[in-house]
Amino acid sequence: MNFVRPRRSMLYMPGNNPNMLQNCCCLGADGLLLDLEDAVSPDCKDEARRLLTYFMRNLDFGNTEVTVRINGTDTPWWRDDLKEIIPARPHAVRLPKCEDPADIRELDSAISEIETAEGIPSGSIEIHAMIETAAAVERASEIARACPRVSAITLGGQDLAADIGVRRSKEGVEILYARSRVVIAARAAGIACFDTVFTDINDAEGLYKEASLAAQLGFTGKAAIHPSQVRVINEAFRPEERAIRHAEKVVAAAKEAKIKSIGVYAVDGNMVDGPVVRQALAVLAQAGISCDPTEVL
Amino acid sequence: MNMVKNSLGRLVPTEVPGLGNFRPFEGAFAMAGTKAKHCAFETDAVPRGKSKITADIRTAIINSGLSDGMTISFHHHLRNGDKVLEMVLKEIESLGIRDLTLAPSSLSDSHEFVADYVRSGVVSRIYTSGIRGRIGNLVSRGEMEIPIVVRSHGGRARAIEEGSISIDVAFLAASACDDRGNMTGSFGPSAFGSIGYGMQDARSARHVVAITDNLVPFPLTPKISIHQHLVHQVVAVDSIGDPDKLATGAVRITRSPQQLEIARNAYELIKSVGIIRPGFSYQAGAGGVSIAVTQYIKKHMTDKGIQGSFALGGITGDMIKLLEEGLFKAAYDVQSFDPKMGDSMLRNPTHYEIDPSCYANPMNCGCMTHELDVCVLGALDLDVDFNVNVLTGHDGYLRGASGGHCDASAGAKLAIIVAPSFRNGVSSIKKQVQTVVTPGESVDAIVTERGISINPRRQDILEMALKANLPVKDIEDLRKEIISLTGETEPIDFDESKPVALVEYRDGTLIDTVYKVRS
Amino acid sequence: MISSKSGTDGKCDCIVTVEPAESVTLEYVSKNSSIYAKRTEDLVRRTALRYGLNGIKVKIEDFGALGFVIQARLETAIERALGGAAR
Repeated sequence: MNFVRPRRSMLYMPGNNPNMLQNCCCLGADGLLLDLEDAVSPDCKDEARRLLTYFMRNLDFGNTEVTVRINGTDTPWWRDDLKEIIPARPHAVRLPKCEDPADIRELDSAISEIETAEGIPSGSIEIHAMIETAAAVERASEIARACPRVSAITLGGQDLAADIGVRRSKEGVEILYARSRVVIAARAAGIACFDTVFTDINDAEGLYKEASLAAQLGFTGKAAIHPSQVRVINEAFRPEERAIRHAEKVVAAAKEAKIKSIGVYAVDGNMVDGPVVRQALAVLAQAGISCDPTEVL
Repeated sequence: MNMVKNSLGRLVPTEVPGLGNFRPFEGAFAMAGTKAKHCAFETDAVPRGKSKITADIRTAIINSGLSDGMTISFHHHLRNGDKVLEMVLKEIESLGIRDLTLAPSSLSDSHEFVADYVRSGVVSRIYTSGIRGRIGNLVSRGEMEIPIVVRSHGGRARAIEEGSISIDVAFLAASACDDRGNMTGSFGPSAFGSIGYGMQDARSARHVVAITDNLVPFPLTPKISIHQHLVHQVVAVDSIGDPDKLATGAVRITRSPQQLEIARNAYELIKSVGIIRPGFSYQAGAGGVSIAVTQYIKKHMTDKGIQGSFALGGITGDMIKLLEEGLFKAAYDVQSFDPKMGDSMLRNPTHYEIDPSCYANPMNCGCMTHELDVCVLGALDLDVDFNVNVLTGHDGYLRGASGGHCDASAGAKLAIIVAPSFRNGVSSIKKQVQTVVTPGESVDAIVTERGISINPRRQDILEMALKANLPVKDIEDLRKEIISLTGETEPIDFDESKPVALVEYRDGTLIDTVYKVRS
Repeated sequence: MISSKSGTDGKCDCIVTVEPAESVTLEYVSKNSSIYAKRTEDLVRRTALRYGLNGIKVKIEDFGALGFVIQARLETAIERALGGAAR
């Protein structure tokens, strides 16, 4: 991943639906989750992965992060999923219902084998892990650190609520701890984290509230279950104008410093170093502005 | 047939047996400044005291003096719910009248039966704005000896006024009519809103027959759209049509993510040009994308407290909401896409009912499309020169309508065409469009979900769009990008020795020719 | 090789049905059949060749699918027919 890209919204797309897939790259989502798991019935797994591979190879995704949710390691399908989609170079593979870091390591090996066989740079395909059960929440840190490939963990709120025996509410207090736990685990491991889906697609106000809460809690982004949710989520994760302006100043100064080979410089009276520039890039990414780190670092 | 190349490089005939002489298209405003013709014709007067009530359509036809070879007209305000055209043609056929020129303001999906009347010899020429279904297929297969003539709404108005279309009998459906022939479409059980096309034909036809399912006491109140002095006969029938089939179903806001994305891009473009300001005027088509654009513009105007001057159309319920909320001062309605528009016309004094000459005739003292700031229209397909086809399908068959497309595009300061990059696996952008209805010089921008292309003639718009960070793409690049997904289509096997339809531009010149499809 | 099919009648999808046959034949049912006839024939022939099939009877009911969607469905139908994993 060369660019520090916006990762506010992750739009779910059913893996066997050409009508939706053919325009998924044009819906303004920062990331796409192409789904081979719940969205595809067992007798269609083979045709879905073939279809998905063709879409991945033919669509122009621009700067959008393409991730594929494969079937779990407890199913007969996951290895065939990998065999077909890894060569099509998704940015990441999402593993559903992770509870055991060992599952991630098994996935990691399988991906490595295919990377080697296909001549893909080792480690370039990332793993996103879904935290969907109480057991998974308990082991969130281990899962986040299971292997270097893991670049994000995401909360599956619907399944988690079912697992702990509670009903989901719009206020979300029943999964509040799980949310924070996922954020802490992700941040401590230096990786991204995505909040769960908001299922009422007709309630834009409710979505904005929940997405703002997710941003406030420290999530880097949130799942969208319908294209109409993308813009609302992007808006909710947008940093304050002040923070954006400051970040623009820092990046501008860093670009200039790099051109003039100046090692030490300040912005608004504060010294700027690598971490400060990286933080500024992250802020701009949340404002929807992609930057090339090589221009500034 | 002698064919010449017009200024777009399209071959068009100069002389067509059975139709007459034509001039080739030379530019969107090539005819500006020339004098407009108005024809004079003889018509029967109705003596004082004579009753206009005729018992049935059959008798009305006999009374009108209709005979072989004449021209009849209808309005298409009842759209897919119309019953009048069929009722009249049936009686004409049973009277043994043949070889007529059928010149309605347009034909809709429910008018497929016209194919039967062509085959039986009742109709031998057709002048229309739109054509599709069985009758479209019949014409495309070359079953008519004389090519049909497709005109825009403004073009038909001009043609009628100058006498190129010489209407012998106009059969005008009305949802409320009194026994003197004062009529309207704004209320009644079969209300359809504006009767604009009817207003035009009533002025220029040699003989006018009002057909209504709602005969009311004289004088018609509270509104008269066409006054009695233009009407010869009044016929009461059981039903003129089904108003529920009138709304084309496009009055709902689309939920398609792709269409909303196109609409958003169009709105962002309009916003970036800075044209949504006090006094703003607007026309949108009735398609899902256009209505969505209207919603985005509405929100913008509401948030910023901007009052526009007028909305034009093709008026839909969402436009009237803008009028009633004070966001527009007036709505000019030549045809209503929603039966409730009649109610609006009655309660909103500035919901003006206009005829198509006022709407779009380029040869008068200033039609409404020439006042437009922005128009948002659809397309079947487009080419890299920004020419637009709204008439023929990907298979070469006639399945669309000229409508007000070239009229609005020519007049608007910012003419935007919205279209998906591809439909059903076929690219919307081609190297050369199959049939030109609107010339590229009238189109300022094409908006798809995959990007916006600005006409090179409009560097001013390009600068503003780039400044606003909009997804601007060169049109050839956009075309190539789409083709890489859809692939190139194979050419249609047209029989170019057999023109089946002449596409007349709004000024009367020929902008393109449609040929027979070899099956 | 057995008869098999893949795809759905959803918008912009296609249903591809394959059967064993002596030669490669195609029945292409679509609103686009006149403008993508050659493309679709080439697609079927190339794919049959790739799978080493001298004969196959292919029926494509196209509901407005992009070319590579037809390709994907055809491959899956063939693989299922050849006994590939449909589970």
